[in-house]
Amino acid sequence: MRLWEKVKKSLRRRSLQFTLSLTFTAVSVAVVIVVAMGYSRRFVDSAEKMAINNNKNVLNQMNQNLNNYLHNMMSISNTMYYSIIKNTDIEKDGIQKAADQMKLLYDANASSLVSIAIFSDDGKIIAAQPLSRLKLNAEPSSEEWFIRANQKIENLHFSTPHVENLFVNSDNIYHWVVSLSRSVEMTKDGTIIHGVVLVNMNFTGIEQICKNVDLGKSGYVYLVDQSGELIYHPNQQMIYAGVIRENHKKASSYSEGSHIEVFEGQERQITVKTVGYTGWKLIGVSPTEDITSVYTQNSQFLWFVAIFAILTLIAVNAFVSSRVANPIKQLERSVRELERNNLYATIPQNGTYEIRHLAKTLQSMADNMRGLMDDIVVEQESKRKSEMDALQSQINPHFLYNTLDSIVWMIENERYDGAITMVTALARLFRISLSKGKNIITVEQELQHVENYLIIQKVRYKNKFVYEIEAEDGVLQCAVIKLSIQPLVENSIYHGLEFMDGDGEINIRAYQRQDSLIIEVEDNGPGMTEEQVEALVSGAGQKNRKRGSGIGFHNVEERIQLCFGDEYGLEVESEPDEGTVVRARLPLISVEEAEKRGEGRL
Amino acid sequence: MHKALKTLWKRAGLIILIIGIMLCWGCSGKNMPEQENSPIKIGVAIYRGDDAFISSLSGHLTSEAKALEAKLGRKVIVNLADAKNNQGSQNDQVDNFINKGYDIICVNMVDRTAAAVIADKTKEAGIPIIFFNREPVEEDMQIWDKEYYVGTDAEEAGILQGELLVSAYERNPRSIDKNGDGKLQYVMLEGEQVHQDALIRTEFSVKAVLQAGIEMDKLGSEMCNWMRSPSYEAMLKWLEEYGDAIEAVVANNDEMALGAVQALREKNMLKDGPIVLGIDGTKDCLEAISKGDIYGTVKNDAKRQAEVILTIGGACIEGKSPSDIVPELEGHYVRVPHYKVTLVNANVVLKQE
Amino acid sequence: MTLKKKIIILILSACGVAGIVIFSTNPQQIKGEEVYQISYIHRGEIPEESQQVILQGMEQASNAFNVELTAVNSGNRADANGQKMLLEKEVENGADAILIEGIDDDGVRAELEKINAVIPVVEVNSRTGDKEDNKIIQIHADDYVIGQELGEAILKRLGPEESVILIKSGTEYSDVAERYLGVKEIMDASAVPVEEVDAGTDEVSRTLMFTNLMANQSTRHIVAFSSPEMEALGKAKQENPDFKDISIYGTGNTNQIINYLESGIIQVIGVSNDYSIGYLSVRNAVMKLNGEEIEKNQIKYSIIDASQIYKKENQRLLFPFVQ
Repeated sequence: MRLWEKVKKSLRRRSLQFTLSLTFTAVSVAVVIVVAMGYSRRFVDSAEKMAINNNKNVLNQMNQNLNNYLHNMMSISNTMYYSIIKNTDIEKDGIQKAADQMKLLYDANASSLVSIAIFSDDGKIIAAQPLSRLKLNAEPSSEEWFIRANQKIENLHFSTPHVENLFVNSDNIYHWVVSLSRSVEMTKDGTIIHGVVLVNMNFTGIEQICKNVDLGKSGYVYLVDQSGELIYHPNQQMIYAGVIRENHKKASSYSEGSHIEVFEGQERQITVKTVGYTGWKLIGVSPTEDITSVYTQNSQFLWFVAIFAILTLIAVNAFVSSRVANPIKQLERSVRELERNNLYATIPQNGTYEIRHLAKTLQSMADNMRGLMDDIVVEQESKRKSEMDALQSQINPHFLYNTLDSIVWMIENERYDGAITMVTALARLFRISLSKGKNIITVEQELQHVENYLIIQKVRYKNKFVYEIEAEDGVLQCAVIKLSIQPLVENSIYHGLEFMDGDGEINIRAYQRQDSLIIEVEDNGPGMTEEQVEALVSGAGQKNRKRGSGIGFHNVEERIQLCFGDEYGLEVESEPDEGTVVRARLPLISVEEAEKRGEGRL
Repeated sequence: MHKALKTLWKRAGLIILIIGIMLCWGCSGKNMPEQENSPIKIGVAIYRGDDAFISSLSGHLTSEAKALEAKLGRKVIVNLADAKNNQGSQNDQVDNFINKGYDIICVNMVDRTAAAVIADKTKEAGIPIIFFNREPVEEDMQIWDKEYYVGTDAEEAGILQGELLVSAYERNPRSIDKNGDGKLQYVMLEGEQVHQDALIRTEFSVKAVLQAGIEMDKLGSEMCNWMRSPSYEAMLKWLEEYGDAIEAVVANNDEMALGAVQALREKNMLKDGPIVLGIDGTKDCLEAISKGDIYGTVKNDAKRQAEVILTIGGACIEGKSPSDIVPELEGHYVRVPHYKVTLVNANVVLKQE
Repeated sequence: MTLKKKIIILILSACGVAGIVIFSTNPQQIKGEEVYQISYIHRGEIPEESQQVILQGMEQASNAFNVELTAVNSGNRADANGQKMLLEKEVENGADAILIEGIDDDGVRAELEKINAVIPVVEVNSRTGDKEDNKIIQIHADDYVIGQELGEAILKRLGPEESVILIKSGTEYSDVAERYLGVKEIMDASAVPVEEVDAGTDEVSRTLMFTNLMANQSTRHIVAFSSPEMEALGKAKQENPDFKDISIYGTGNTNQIINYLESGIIQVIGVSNDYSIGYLSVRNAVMKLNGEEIEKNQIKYSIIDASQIYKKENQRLLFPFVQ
């Protein structure tokens, strides 16, 4: 199992294409090899079996033929004995009748016979066909066939091949024959005498049967007698000459059936079949190489084909898997680009439907992200801008100059208390303005800021107005957006009280109404018409103010709404020549709560 | 780098392609031998090599092949196969010729009744076949159109032989008809059981004599297989039985006549013995004629037959029709004519051998 | 095209080529069944009967080793130039190897050495020189020894003061020459008077000469060294009963000669295993073509008189199984 885990692990690390390729290839190679091996095996088995069977059959056939041939010869000998000799008295009937009968017999079998003859016990010729004159130095009684016939009189004797040397032959033809001899009893003038009947079989008869045998490419058959002497061999002449060697002495001792022998470095399959009656053995030789070469060649061929198939499969696999995996790879590359925060990477839309879908989705996702991020950037930009504006406005140069001027004038006029008051108020003003960057401060702090502002303005405006700041206790610690009240007060001063001559009144009140925090800024200035109110609320007027702190009505409303939602904001009530009330409505929450709320929105 | 690799692959691919094509060409190329300069192979299958006439004919085939070589401008190889009187062997030998792609096959059938097998095989292989000396039956000669037979007219031979006897008799009747009974006592040495020449020669030589008004008395006849020894034996037998009553020995061929002569010589009966006649005109016989042992023979022109066989073969190879070139060709048969040979012209004929 | 695609196309084309090769190659052709064309240049016009045995041996080997054998004769008057021309012609005709009964001549030798550098040359029976660095395959019996042993056999049959006639012809060929020299040496060593007679090549004049020779009263022993001469001597002796006391000896292996030997017309013959010579010539040529090692082979021979013809060994020598 561990190996499997290892394999799985290593595979996991590899690319899709590699895994695909490898798997396809491994499977197809395995299949091809299994098929090739299986087929090859079967082929080898069946080829071997067929070869062995073939050899057996061929040898059986040959044996059959040889048996028939030999039996034929034996029956000729029998006929000579039983039909011819036994019915003749050599003396009384004379030899002519026997000779004529022998001629018939010979003529009928001329193609397989060289000669047939009857000899007396002392080797004298009695009758013979076709030629009857013995050669001068022929001595039948000392010939082997003669001697052996008389050794065992009940049997027929087959000799080894030799050249027939008995009869005068003026055609100068010398035949190789196998002599079949037997001892016979003849009647001469009533008495029984012994003799030998000789049938000389034409060796080519045996040769015909044994040659041209299909025992594989270089297989052959040969014939030996009981003592291992060669009777027939395809290379007989060369074996006699000592040029070629054969294992016949040893093979003749094998039992009937199949054997394997190794001779002169060559392994061969030997099949032995005994020929009846004679004790001869038919030996079939089939070099194992013949059998193996057939199936070796075919095996080679098979393996060639297998390799070819494997190569093709590898190529095809590689091709197919690359076509499948490439789009995925491309996709993966695009994702990597995206990872590197390159949102502008293009995602090629290739491959199968699924891949294309993925690509499309990825593309739109990237586009979305880009859009969102652009939005964020824009938002952040505007926030920065607002803050910058706020910051800027907090450091309105004009206000500063004027205030500083006033302070300088006071100092010049030795109104040091007044100067100290103004400087202190200014400092406090700026402190809360900046207020450590916080946007949400307590009502108390904002009102203080307003007071500082008013202190300064009062001096500057030479006590043109009076002011009053009231707050309920419960709301002092509530949250309010920084610099939301002061701009309203500023508006009152600039729009309201500037045009008045000393009776100006600004009232600032902070109180709780229902669940909201209300902070009012009331002045008794000239007020606004309904249209002016309308214009102010809708923001049709200028946002940028050169005078005052410059934040303005809208800025405050925007910031309140941004932070706390649209249900809060500013209200304006105004009557011309009566005055104006600007009311800021905020939720009644603590600073921490407001900060939490605001986080999400800012 | 990429471009260099590209060209490298291109070249490699081209090389592999070329090798592949060359391999294929090589493999198939082996199967296409060059037509123009390859030698002409002629296979000759004879029925047995120890037949004197046949071996003389084969010898002429080999020597006449040179003339064919000169004529065709290509090397001519003549290969002989001896069937040793076994039709099975001969069939194998013809198969061998066919398998080795011989251009012409000449067959001297062991068993003239078994020609169909061989004719069929050569038809299938498209190799022209010329039978000679041992004639297949007519049906077997009609199996396809490139079958030819070159031989002689056995009837003519028989008649000429008979005429020899007639003229010898008419010149000096007493020397032939020793017992003066007006009949010719003769023995007949016959060739082979089924051979067409044997049957016809036997019949027509006797007929020719009878037609000349001379009566004939057959003492004995024997099938001696064209060979000397059996004839010798047979003659001995007859001499023992009939002695000098035999007035004529008529043999279907020279070898058998020579066998009879051998027997006569042994019994010292050559000098005033029977008149001996043969057919073929072999060297030994011609010498015997010069010595007077044999009276006469009928020349079986082996040389001319060999020439004709090769001419027909050459014509077939060149794609011409043999009948345009060989005057003796009648249909598919050529019968080379015989002529008589006696003491008068024996020496001349001998020189031609 | 990407590199990957290139590789794939390359592999595919390699497969295609391999496929074509596989499917067009006949498996049997892998074994290389090449037929060798071998030319055999022999002496004499038509192969004489004795030549037949060598040819039969060659044909058996041809069948066994997939050879196509062409026999070419040197022409009636074998001369060195004629042989050289024949050699050139055979080589031109595309012979893979040459077997030759070469005339013992320097020119022929030079030509053979030239050819042997390119294709195997085998000298059959007759050798063209015995240099130490001989690279040409030579298949022959030990002709000189055969001559000597024949000489010994003749000696045994010589009466006192009897001379021997040696028929000297055909000695342009080394095998004939050596046998001749072998006999002559033995005769000289025992101080037997020797008469050399040239029989010439014309048959008719030869027959006449033999008859005259034999008619001469002092002729008692004649030795010839080639089959046609042996047969002619035998025939002359057979036809004239007056010649019956003349003894004929020699070398040659035809059925007619054996017949004469058997019937006492010829007394002793020396025979070498011509069949082996023929077989081995072709076999060794093929082996050299295949680049195999060639082993030395001893060619058997025998000196045979009438009583020994049918001895087992001699039977096989004299009457080859032709298969």
